[in-house]
Amino acid sequence: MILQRFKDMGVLGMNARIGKYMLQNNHRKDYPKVDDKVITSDLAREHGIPMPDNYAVFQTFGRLQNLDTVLRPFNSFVIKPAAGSMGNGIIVIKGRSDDVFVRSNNEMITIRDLRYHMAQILSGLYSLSGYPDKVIVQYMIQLHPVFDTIAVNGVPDIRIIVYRGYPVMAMTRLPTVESNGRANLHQGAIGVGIDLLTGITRNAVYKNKTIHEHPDTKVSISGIPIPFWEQMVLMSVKGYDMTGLGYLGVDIALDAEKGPMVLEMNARPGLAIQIANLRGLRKRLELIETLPGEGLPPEERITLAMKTIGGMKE
Amino acid sequence: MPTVQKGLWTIEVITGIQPSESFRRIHFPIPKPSERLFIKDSKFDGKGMALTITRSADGYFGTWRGRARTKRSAYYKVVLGTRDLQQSPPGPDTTAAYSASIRERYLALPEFSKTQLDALTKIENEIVPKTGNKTRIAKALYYFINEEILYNSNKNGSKVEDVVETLESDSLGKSKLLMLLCRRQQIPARIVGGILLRPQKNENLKGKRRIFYWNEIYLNNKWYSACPTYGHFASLTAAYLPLFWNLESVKDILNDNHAGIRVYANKVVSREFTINEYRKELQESKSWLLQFSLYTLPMQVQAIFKILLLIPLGGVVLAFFRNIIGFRTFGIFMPILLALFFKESTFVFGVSFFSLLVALGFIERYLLEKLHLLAVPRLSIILTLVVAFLCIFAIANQSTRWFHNFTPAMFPIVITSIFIERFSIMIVEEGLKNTTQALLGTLVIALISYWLFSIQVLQVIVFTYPETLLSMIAVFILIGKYTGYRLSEFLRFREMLKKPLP
Repeated sequence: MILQRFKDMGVLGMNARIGKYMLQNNHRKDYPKVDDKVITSDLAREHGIPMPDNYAVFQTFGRLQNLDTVLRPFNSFVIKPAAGSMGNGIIVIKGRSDDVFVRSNNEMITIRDLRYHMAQILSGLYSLSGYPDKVIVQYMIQLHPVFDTIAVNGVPDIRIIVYRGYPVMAMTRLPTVESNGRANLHQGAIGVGIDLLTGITRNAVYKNKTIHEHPDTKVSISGIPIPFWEQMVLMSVKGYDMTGLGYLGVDIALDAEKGPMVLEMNARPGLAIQIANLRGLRKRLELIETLPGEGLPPEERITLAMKTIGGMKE
Repeated sequence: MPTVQKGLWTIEVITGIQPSESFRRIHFPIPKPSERLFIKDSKFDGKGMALTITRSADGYFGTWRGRARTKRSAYYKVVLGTRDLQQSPPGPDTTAAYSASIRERYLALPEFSKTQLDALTKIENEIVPKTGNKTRIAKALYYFINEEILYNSNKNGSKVEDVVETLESDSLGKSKLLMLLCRRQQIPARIVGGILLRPQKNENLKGKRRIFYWNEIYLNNKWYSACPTYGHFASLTAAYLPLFWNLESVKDILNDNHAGIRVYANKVVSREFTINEYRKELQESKSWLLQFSLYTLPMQVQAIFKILLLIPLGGVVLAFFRNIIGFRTFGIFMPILLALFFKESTFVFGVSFFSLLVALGFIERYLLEKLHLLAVPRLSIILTLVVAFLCIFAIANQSTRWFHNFTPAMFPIVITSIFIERFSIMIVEEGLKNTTQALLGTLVIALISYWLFSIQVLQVIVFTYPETLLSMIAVFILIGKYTGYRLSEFLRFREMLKKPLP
C-alpha cells in the first residue's frame, strides 16, 4: 500500500540514489572538483560562475600564527573547511572589535578560539574522509532583503538538483533559531520547495513536518518569488559543464549586493528535497533520461527541462 | 552434516624446541591405549625431526630425534575417546612382602628433612588407624587429603611441609602427599600425570591444558585409581586422561633444557564419522578440492580460522541492516569489530566493559576540549587513557577475579579511541537523538552478529565448507544491487503521503 503510493509519487530512496544515479553518473575522478571547495572556486572562476571571494586559504599550522595579520582588513567573514560537508565546521563572523569576534548567533569568540578551531579543521576533524584539510576564509554573504523575515541568524541557501545537465528540482533551506543560523535540515532548518518553473516557494517542512509559517517569525513562507531565479537555474546547470557530475546538487546563496553566488556543489545531494516539494525525484529523473544527452548549450537544456517537467502530472 | 561428536577429543602435544647445534633426543608423553582409552587416529609432524615411540612402565613416550638449528614446534596429534572407570572396591589387604621391582619403584622414599618428617608424623599420628589392614589405611589417608587439604590450582605444593602447614595445595602437592603417606605405611603408590578433558570456560586458551595429577594405589596386587582432588576412589570419570606415571613433572621426561611442552585438548567437531575416516575419505577421493580442508591445519590455527570465517557473516548482517532496514552506525565495520570483541571476551564482560570505557572516554573528551589541543595529540591522550584504564582494570581483576578470562590483547583499543572521538563530535554536531540512533544501530547489529557467531552449528558449517564464503559474496552482490526502499525511508518520507492524490 504505502510502497505503491511511494512508487506512484516517484519517491527516490537512498539505495536507488546511490546505485542508479550516483554510481552511474558521477565518476570518481570528478569528485575532488566538488569535495574540495578550493578547487571548486578555481574551476568556477574559469567557467564564469560567481562564487564568494576567498580572502585566504590556510594549508599549514604554521601560517595560523599570522592569523591576526591576515584577518586585520576584514570585519566580517566565514571560516569553513575546504572538504567539509553538511555545514559542519563553519563559523560565520559578522563583526569584531580588535581580537574579539562576533559570530552570526551573537556569541563572542576570541582569536585564540578561532585559531584552535582552524587547527581542528586542518587536522581533518570536519573533512569528509578524515584526512588533513584546508581552511578557507571567505567573503560573508549579505542577507538579501527578500529573506529578512524568513531567515533567522543566518543566510538561506537554494539547492537545485541537476541531472545530466538539466535542472530537476529546487528548494531553499531557511535557518532558524534552532539550527543556529545553519541551513541544514537535520539541525533544524526549514526546507521549502521551490517551483522550478517559476521560482516561487511552496510547501515547507520543518523537522519532517509540513508547516506554513516560519516557526520563529510567524511569517508565511509559501508564495514568495525568489529573485534572480533564471540566473540561479543557469548557474546550477553550468555546474554540470564545469564538473561533469551527472547527478549534482548546486547550492546557491543570494547576496544583497552581488546577487546569486554558488556556495558549493555536492556530488551526494540529499533526498529531503522531495519532502520539501512533496514530489518524488524519480519520475523527473526518468523523464530527463529521454532528453538528448550531450551537445546542447545550457540555455537550451533549461528550456527543454522546463517544458518536460512543466508537462508532467505530479 | 557435521555435528559435535560426544566423547571424542583431539589431543595435541606440542614440543617447542629452541635452536641448538647438537644432535638431540627430546622425549614427550603420549596417551597410552587401555581398556578405558581408545585411540581413533594419530598424526605427527616433527618439523624435520624423526619420531620414535617407547613403551615403558611409566607410560608411552615419543622421542624427537635430530638437529634443530632453528626454532620450531613439533606436534603429535591424537584423536581419542575415554570411558568412565569403575573398579570393584578393594577388599582388605594384608600383603606383607612385595617383589623387588615393586619395592624399588613404588615403595622408595626420598631422604626427609627434620621438618618434613615432623609434618608427616603429625598427620600419621592423627589419622592412621592403629589397627587395620592396608586398604583401610589407604582409604583413611585418601579421605584426609581429599577432605582436609584445600585444592588451589595456583598454590605450588611441591614441598610437603608447606602443604601440611597451610592445608592448601595444587593437584601435584595433594597426590604427592598421598603417595608419600601410603609408601610410609608400606603401601605401594604412584602419581599419575595427565590432563582433564573438560570443556574450557576460557576460549582464549584454545584448548591449552595444565598437567593435572592424581594417584594409583596398589592393593591386593592390583592398581586402584584415586583422585584426592576431585574425590574419586576406585573409580574415575571419563575426563581423566593419563599421560605418564610415577613422574612428578614433564621436565623430568623431556631430557632437554631447551624444549618445552604444551598440551592441547579440544572436543572433536566433525562429520558423524571420525576424523580418521574423514581424512581417509579425503585421501581416497584424490580430489585436490577435498584435500583443501581446514581440518588438516594444526588446532591453534584451526581455532583462529573458526573465528575468521565468521567475519563475512557479520558483513551480511551489517549490509542487511544498513541497506535494507536503514540503520545508522558508527563507522562502517565498527559493529562487526564489536561483535568479535564480545565473542573473544564474554558477552556480559564485553558490553559492560565497553560502555564503561565509552563513558570514561566521553568525560575525558569534554575535559580535554578545554585544553585546546590539536586533534592527533588529543586522540592519543584518549588512546593512552584507554590503555591506562586497561592496566588498572587488569590489576583489579587479578585480585577480585570478576572475569577470569581477561585478555587485553584482543581488545580493540585504537578502535575504542576513535569511537569515543566520533561519538562526542556527533553529539555536538547532530544532537543527542541522531547520536543515540547511531549508537543503538551499532549495538543492535553487533549483538545480532554476536548471536550468530555463537551458533556452534553455523561455525561448523562454515569451517567444514569454506566454500560458503562464495555464497556470502553472492548475498553481498544481491544486497549491493538492491535499489528499492530502505524500511526506514517509509518513516522518513511519511510526510509526503499527506499530499492529496492527483
